[in-house]
Amino acid sequence: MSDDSRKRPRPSHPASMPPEVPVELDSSWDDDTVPRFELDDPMSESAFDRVTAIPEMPSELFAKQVMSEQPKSAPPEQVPRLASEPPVVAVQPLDPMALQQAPRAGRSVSLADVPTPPHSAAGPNSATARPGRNRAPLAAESTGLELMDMSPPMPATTRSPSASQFGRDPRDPVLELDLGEVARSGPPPAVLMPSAPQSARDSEITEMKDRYAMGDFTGALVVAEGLLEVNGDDIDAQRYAQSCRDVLMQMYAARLGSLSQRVRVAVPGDQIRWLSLDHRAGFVLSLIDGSSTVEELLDISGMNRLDALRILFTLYDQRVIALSEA
Amino acid sequence: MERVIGIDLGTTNSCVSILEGDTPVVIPNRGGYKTTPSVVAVTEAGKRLVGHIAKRQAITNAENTVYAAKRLIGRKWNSPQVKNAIMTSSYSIVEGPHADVRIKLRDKTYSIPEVSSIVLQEMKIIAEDYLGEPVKKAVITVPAYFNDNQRQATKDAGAIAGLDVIRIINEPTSASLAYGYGKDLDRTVAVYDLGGGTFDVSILEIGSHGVFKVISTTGDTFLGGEDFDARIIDWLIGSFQEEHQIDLRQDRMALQRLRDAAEKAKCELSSVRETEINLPFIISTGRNEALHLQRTLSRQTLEKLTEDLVERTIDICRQAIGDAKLDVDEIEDVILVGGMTRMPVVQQAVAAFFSREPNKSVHPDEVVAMGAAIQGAALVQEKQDMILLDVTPHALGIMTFGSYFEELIPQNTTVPTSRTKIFTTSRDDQTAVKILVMQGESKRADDNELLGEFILTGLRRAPKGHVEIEVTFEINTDGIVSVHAKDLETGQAQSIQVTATSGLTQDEVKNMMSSAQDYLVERRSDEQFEGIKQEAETLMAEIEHMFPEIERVVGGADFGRDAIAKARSAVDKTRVAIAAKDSAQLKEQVDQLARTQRMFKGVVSRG
Repeated sequence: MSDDSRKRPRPSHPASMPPEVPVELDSSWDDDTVPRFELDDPMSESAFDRVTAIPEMPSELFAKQVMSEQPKSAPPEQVPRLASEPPVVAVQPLDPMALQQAPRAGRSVSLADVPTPPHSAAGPNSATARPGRNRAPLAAESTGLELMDMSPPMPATTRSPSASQFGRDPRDPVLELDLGEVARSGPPPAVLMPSAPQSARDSEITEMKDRYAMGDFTGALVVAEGLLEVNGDDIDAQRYAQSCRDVLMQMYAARLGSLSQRVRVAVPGDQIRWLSLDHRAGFVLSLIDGSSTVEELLDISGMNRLDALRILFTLYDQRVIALSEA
Repeated sequence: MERVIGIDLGTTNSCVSILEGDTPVVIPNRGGYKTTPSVVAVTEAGKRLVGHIAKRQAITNAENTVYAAKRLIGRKWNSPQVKNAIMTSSYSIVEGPHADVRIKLRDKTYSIPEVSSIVLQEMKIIAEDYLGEPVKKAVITVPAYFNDNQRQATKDAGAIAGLDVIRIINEPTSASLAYGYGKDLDRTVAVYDLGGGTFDVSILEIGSHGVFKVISTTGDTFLGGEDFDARIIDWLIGSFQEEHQIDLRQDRMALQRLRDAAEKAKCELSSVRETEINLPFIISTGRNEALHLQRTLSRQTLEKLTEDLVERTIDICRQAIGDAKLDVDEIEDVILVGGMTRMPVVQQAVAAFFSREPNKSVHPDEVVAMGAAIQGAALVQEKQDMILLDVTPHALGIMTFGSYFEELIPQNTTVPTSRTKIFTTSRDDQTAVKILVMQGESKRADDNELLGEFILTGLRRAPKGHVEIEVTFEINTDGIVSVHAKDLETGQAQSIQVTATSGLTQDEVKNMMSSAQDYLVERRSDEQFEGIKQEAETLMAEIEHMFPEIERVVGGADFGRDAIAKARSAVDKTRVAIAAKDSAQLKEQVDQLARTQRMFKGVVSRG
């Protein structure tokens, strides 16, 4: 890693932050189905104490599932793209309603509900960068779960040495692939190792893509924004930054539920100062008057929508605030 | 009979009232507040915010939040007030196409009447929601010192908001009207109006049969409650800096919280002797440590901090009494207007100056709007004894040699009216005179407002003072001023018609009216959709909650499976309709969901 990149603060992912990919798997999945993520249990302990999108399932099963994903329905003209590549066309801002229903719906919510540009199909769900392993575009699937695409598991072989910097708890179970199974079911995954010394930018770009591919959208966004600070016209960084923002906003909005819910402070006033908050969260908390809705708070926070959503979600996650139907 | 609302369009807060029976009632907004901040903002997402919600983000979104637009309404771009506003406002003030003033918010430029119309539209909506019927007519109040252009601009703002402004009345007159409502008074009163952003004091003569004459009015357009808040903020910032060596002014979020807390503390100190200001996590240090601000502010400290501000209001009262050529003891009552007059030290200062306790029978925040509602009702009911006489708010005249102002029609003259005066040439062989029509009370022409000008030519060559020119001012019932100048010897004549202008053309006003109407339709439609959506969400949640029980009870039967499948389909279709914002489809699905819910409830109760 270059000196330049070392100077930039690495993205951290505090424990209070939600995972960027819902992790509970639909119990009905099998080798032939795409895992579905449940959004209906946002308060689940297990859902929040992890930092990257490693699905909870036996590693061998997971590996089996990853390797069994053949591009059955991919049209021949589908141009393979890198696994970590974000949509070429920015993701259309999602009407959060499509996702907001999830927690109450009591069903797995398919991000197929989310309009996704065609080129995002070969998204990070692909465990490797191999063209042949790209999945078909979502449009070709009836209920393909795009959350999966946004938060793919990273095969052990592609995890970079800097994985610890991604904020993962070293105690988290490490995903081990059954290489025997891999060998039986097809060619091994490509390893994203630089073949030649990279420039600082290249290294940042690679890291950004890696993080995106791993579903660490916050981390990818920090790297992308860092690149944009250096060069505001960096098209790659712009695309990734926008894509990360869109995905993150959709995810936070989905976790909070209807944005027309009223927000109230759930902690007694005299205990607020004992919470672990920063001044931005303190500010958002000060805006809550018991009658404002989530949407109104987003409007008056003076922050960008993503930051405000993230803070509101964190406060909700920590049970500092409560939501109720207006 | 058609209802007429009375609107107090204030610099910092606005209020709407209506006469119900014989009682003026102030209408609360959706949040339950009887006043609504006159603040308009546009968010990053392009959403328009009005009132409390706009005020709550005024500092964090300062560049796109307009407050105190009233200070700019009807002003010309090169006026000193506009120059002052450019220096002190956080939003961008730009020159309009007619040398008027515009405000840039995000990527759109708004005229001042347009901004004010957004506030007026909000007041209209509040009234319509309360009455459950459309409201068209309104009486709007303005400061007594507003000139014709400012009044016309206020009228235009009303028109853009979809209101037929049947009368513009002076704020102190309106307050006096509410104060004297139902009483047959004949007295001289002072109206002490300390609002959020401005201070005015007016001396009025209230006569029987609806005569309310403003004898003098003066004030400071940059003195109000916000200055009191600023003192508290400075005090808080100073003590925090002393303790932590951190300047909270550098952080907008901290500043927004300080402002809100200062205003709250100030209000509380009108009824209690001390209050606690508690702002946890006000700022984070470089070491990522959040600091809290906690202070106790006493009424005594507040009074000390704001002593000079109160004293300034008393100086202005002294000036108003002098302008009215009265002695303080000739003032028979003092009416308090504006929320700031709740502050005990203000009441004490007023009582000490006027040597009498101020009248507390009227609500300081609501009295002006109430007076407007009373006047509105009187106008449509044609209650002659209650109708205020339409008077000229300022004197009218022309500029004479040496830049002096020669008054033809005095202030407070009842319209229609006509006055004539003879003038002569000011130099030898003068063949033309320039007539500059002005409005104001100052002897110096420069201090008054120029309404229009024209040149009378073809005068006979003669030594100065030998040619006589007759100048006639006429104001018709519509308030239109005509000025004629005539050479008495040759009969050569020239005239001009002065129409007050807001800085907008008729076409511009029409376009803005149309845009405002479109916005209203869109907003109503969004609100309607939101209502159905909430209903749908509630039904979906209830149905989904019942699914397991339904499956348990009837899941085994074909009928049960069908019913569950249909219910799931209805829920899915509802979600699609919500995502597509399709009101018609959503309404249809809500009916379907309601039927499903009834059926499920029946099944569950029997199961």
